[in-house]
Amino acid sequence: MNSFPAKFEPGHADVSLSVAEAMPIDDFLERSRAIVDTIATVIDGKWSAIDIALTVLLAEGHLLIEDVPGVGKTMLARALARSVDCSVSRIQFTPDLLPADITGVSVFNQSEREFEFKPGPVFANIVIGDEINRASPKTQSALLESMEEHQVTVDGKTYVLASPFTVVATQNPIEMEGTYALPEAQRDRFMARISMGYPDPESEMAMLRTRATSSPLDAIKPVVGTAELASMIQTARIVFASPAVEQYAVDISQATRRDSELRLGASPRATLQLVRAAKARAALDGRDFVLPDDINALAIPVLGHRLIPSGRVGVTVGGYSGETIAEIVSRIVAETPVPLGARARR
Amino acid sequence: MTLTTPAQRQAAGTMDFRMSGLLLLGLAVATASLHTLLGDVGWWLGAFGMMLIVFGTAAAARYFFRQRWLGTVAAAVVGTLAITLFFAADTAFLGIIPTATTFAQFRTLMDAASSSVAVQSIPADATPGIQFLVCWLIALIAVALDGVAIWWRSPAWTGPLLLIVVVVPSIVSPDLSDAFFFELTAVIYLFIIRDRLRRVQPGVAVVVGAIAVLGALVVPLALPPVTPAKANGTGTGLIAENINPIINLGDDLRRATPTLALTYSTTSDTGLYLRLTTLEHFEGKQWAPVESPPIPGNNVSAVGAAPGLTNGVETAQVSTTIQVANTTGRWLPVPYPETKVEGLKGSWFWEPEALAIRSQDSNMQGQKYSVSSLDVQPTDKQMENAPRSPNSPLAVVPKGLDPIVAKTAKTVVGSAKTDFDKAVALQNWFRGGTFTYSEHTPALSGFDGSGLDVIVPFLKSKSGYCVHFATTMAVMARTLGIPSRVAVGFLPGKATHPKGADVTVYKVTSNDLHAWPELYFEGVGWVRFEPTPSRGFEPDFPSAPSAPSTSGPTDPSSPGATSAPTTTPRTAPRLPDETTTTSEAALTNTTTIPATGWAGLIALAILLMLGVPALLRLVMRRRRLESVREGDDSATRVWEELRESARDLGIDARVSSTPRQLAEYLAEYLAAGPTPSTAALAALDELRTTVEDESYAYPAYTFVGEAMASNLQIVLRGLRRATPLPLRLRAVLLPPTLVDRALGRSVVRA
Repeated sequence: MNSFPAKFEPGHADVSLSVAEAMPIDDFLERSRAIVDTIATVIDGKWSAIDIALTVLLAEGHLLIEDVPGVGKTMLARALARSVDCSVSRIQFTPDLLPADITGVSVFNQSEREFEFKPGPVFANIVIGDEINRASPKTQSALLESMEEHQVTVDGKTYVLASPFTVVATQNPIEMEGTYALPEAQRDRFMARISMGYPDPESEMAMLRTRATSSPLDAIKPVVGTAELASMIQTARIVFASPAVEQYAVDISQATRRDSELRLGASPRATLQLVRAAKARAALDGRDFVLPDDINALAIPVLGHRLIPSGRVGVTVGGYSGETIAEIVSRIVAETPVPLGARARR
Repeated sequence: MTLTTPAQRQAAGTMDFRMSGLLLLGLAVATASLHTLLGDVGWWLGAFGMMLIVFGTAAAARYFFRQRWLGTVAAAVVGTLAITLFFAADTAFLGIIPTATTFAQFRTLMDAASSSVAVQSIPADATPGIQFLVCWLIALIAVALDGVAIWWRSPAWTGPLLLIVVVVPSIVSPDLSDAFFFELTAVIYLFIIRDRLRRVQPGVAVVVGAIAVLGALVVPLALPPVTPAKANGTGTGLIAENINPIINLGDDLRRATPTLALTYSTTSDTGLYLRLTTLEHFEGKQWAPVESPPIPGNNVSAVGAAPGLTNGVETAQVSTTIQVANTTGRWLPVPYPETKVEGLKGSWFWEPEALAIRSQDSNMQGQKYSVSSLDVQPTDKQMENAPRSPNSPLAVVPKGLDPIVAKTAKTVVGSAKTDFDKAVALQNWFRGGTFTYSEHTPALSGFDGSGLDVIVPFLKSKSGYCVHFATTMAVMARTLGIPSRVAVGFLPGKATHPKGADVTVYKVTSNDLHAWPELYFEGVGWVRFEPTPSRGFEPDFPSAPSAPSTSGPTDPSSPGATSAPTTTPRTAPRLPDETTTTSEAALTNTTTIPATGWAGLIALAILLMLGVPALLRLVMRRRRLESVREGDDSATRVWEELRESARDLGIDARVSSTPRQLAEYLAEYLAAGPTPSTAALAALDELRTTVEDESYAYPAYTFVGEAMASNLQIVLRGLRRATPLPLRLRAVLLPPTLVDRALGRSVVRA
């Protein structure tokens, strides 16, 4: 299961990832459906959350699941990880967690008489970071750095992370006690943020029944191998995004930067990830090209957590509550014309 | 300015439409300011139709051919054709292509317009000539406006052009300028130059705007007041102080509202012709009155005998009391021949020849006086037998008279032997129905006067007013050797009520101003004739069956010639060939146009106006479908058209909807219709797929334009069927997207 060598040698990050072959779209759809079905045995009635989680996985992004405790954040993360036959590690973030607890440490080997690098939990294909906002910023940043650069530097030596590499982090809403809110720069590293939301009554009833005897998580068998996942990722990467679609993504990002309700708009990285996620979504829909609808559907999960409202939003003052971030993004999307035609505007 | 991107070109295109609309509005309002000069609104509607044609042509030509200059040129050409069609269709090749005759007709109309403008009081009737003039000028200005504002991109220069129109009333009279229309025009002008102003500094824009509005307020006040060409109704009296009362007679007759001239009560059985003076000298240009110096001895309390009247003719005494109202002048209206005038203020004397009563220092206005006069009653026998007075200076035919007049006179009198028969024949010829009374025809045709040169046109057109009848008959009488002169005065007017046993009160207005010929018969004197049809009454000459009580000689040699004037009207011979000339034909034509043509033109203009949006929308759809078929950015065009057509039908189709979203929405709409069409749903789905593939998938280089176009049409048909009738009607007649486009708003909501 662990595809890493026992002994870690420093190396350079291979940005172009492994050169996996793209798979036929039918195979892609079959496997992705298998993953969704597997997760669905654990998470009841949360199709949109599952879809976005899978989209992020296939787009090689990182996922932030934000919600109140006990709605299945960790369950989703673990189910996602277990459905793929790859290395998985889990970090429970606490206020006393140190950066080395994540990245790994150099230990002096008595027999070899040299320092040996003991890789931390970040060296896995899927890293589950539980309650990421409970750790100190210093520790958070250790993880987030590796997320962006796909590498870890310890004692002046750089170690390349696994590929594919996806962090699925959960966090409680910032209003909860004993949390350190993630800085904007670090939130920006996540491709998408989703919240689980409470299950509907039927799903909750079903959950009671299935959990009565054993944890359904244990029953999960991996349905996709690492190589297959890499191939699926490659399939999603080569989905075609037309100039018109790119134009649409850029128009939306630009609009967030101009909006008066927003203090901070979407970064260029956000635009990039929006299109990347849209490609994965298109592939999951069985298409080899992106539609504006993909951009449209992903605008809130991909952009929402990166935007900072200019003030009133979310704060209830005298009964007035401004637009929530989701409302602002919806509005911006609803105001942005959809470009048509093979040629984009110049 | 060169247009590079399609977006810029499109923006410029909509700008042109808006500019055309503004120019139309500006000119329509500016033209409306002429309402103080021209009565009624028909002329404005005609002018508006002309503007629609010119601006519409320009905009359409520009839209189709994408050439700014072409619009103006096309507008000029179509404007010319339209004027030809409306005013001289029969002279034109195929009804619209002007020929040399057309331009001749234009000249005739223009002449008619200028004389009509010169003689009419304000507000004037929009005669065909004036309508032509207005339409022609408006078309010219419209083309010029289009040229400067759109072709040359100098909207600021539309100001002087619009000013030309709005200052016309001020030039005629400062009282006539309508500040409201002036300022409205100025405001529209601000809109016209707004785009220009935006580009310059805001401060400069404000200054220019302020100058424009201030100018609109000040210019009408600052314009030099020009004395109105015509005296206006109430202020000045009739006839005025003119030396020659006949000069203004036409104008006085054409007053819009007649003014009271005088009232009189008389013992006479019939109403009385009240004579001011007579015009005896005919020098070619005008008939002129006798100008004798004041004769101190000729006191009006005892007026001398009537010239030529002998005792043999029976006379009756008539007493008349006259109250002059709003009439000024040096001549006193009196019945002829008067014997005594009493009650006058100021010094008055009588002239020996005309028996006109005149004053050097006084005025008839407001005078009340009583007149004793004679009612001369010669029998027809006496008239028949009157010998010709030899070598009378008043029988001299004026030099330079067209021989056609003498020839006509000769034809008219035919076999009549005596002077009296000849005179009666002439009178009957004029009154017999061949001639019509009109105060406007002479003015239109340019013979509004009493000179030598009006006679021939009058004989040709056979239409005129008293001056023409009187002078023509007088001249014709002279060609036959009968001494003649023209009397100027008033018709008997209207009997209002009896006063006492024998006295009747009459009211005389400015409409009763009149001229009539007086012919001299030896032994009887000056006898009044009445050639003007439908005015006054003919003199009555009682026949003398019993032995005449007079000593007048009888003529037994001509018993057959005792015909009473009324009983044997001789048919009027037509004038020789010259009568039917092109000018006459032209005049008949132009006078028939207003009757039917203008109503039709107005209806056509309204229909055109109603049809314009539908037509524009149709053209737009056609063009889009064409480019879809040609594969010129088909996906964009086809979806644009679908979106806008949906919006026209009242469907909330937004540009921010993805093709998939809109297609879903439209599918719901189609399904909700009374008869959901599966074909439309299928076509919609296919259309959506092709648009998505074209827009977002790998470039495929397959040709789908034709399929897209036909699918679009199927979908649109389905959408229309699913839409309630009122919304469908609005989509055709006043498409919301077109309205938005015209107003410069974004066509489809985000």
